[in-house]
Amino acid sequence: MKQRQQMSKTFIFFFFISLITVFFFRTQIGASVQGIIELIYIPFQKITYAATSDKVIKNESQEVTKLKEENRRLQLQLSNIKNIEREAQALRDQFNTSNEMARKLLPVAILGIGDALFVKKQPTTIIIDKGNAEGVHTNDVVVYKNIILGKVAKASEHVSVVETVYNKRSTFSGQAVQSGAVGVVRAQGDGILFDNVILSEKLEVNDVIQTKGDVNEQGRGYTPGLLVGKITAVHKKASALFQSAEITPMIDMTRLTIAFVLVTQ
Amino acid sequence: MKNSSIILLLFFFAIIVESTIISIPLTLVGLLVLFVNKKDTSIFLYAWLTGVLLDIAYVRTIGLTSIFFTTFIFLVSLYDKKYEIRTLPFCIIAICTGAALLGLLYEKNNILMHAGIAAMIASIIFLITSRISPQVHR
Repeated sequence: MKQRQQMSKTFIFFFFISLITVFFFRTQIGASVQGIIELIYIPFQKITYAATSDKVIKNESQEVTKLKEENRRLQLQLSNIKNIEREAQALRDQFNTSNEMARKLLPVAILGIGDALFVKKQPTTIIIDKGNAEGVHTNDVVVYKNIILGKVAKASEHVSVVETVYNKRSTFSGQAVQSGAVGVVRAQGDGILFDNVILSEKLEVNDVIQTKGDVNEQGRGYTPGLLVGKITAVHKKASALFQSAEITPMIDMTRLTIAFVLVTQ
Repeated sequence: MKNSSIILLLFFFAIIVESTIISIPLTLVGLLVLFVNKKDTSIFLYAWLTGVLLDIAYVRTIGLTSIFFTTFIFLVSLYDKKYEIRTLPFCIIAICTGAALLGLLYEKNNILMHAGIAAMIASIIFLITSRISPQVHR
């Protein structure tokens, strides 16, 4: 009985300590303490994550990696050509340059992923080693070679959480590079869907989907022309209002150890 | 003192692994097995500390996991009088429930699979500790 009472008292004490902790870490001093602990964590997380992702990479044959890389490069080129064509057309039509805010690429190391690696599923969240102190803010976009990975959902002092394109909360407008069809890119199950495309638009297998541009008033968000993936299947019904397509991403996020954040200057 | 240092080191290792490679609640597993074996109030201190460190590693609201961990340990302690908690079936049921609730709290995917793997890890650790410590009965 005495032991039980002691247990209850200790529980109540630590419960209140935990509540106080919630409020303490919202203060300026709390944020500084958090920053210091994050700096201690980062090297350990980097080493652990890099060690495990290297192991995964070694499992794939070099030839397959080479072909994938070549394929990615060609798709990038195709997308760039199409973008240049569109840009030239737009410039011809209107002799004005865009007033897009200046952005710089900030290299970041991936510290961890939201889901287990050994399940071989793409992560819904990733943790990166840069935060507010380094200029990373909520809604900044994370990319790798012009391929979109996701958007910063939460940034602390030295670490940030990125919601990847596989996250159910991540939706943005996309555009097919060849056909120009516009739709909404969102996660579905373990994959990505290019949805809400009107029936009159033409969707084709192997067409590349890129971001159409969803930028907020601070200039943060999905800039146009970032690659999302390639269409692998089209779902079209005459009776439905919209058609959709399944997208296969151009990158395996579980293999990445570095990425880049598009930081608004 | 020496024991507590080793426990803290193991928890730190569990937090690093949990936040980088696998999202299985290893810390919760550690806390449960430790409580089942020690039945000591000092586990609440570990629960609070590991909760804070885990929240920092995951960039979550700091303190929420501490609240969850301390409540979970307290609930487990309530069963101590009614049942024999130093048993493998109790450990499995408790960790499955705890891992599933934690998964729900943080909207994780594959909650059942995570709970299953956590139960497996808990069983292994429990069996190892039961060999080391003669007090533990299967």
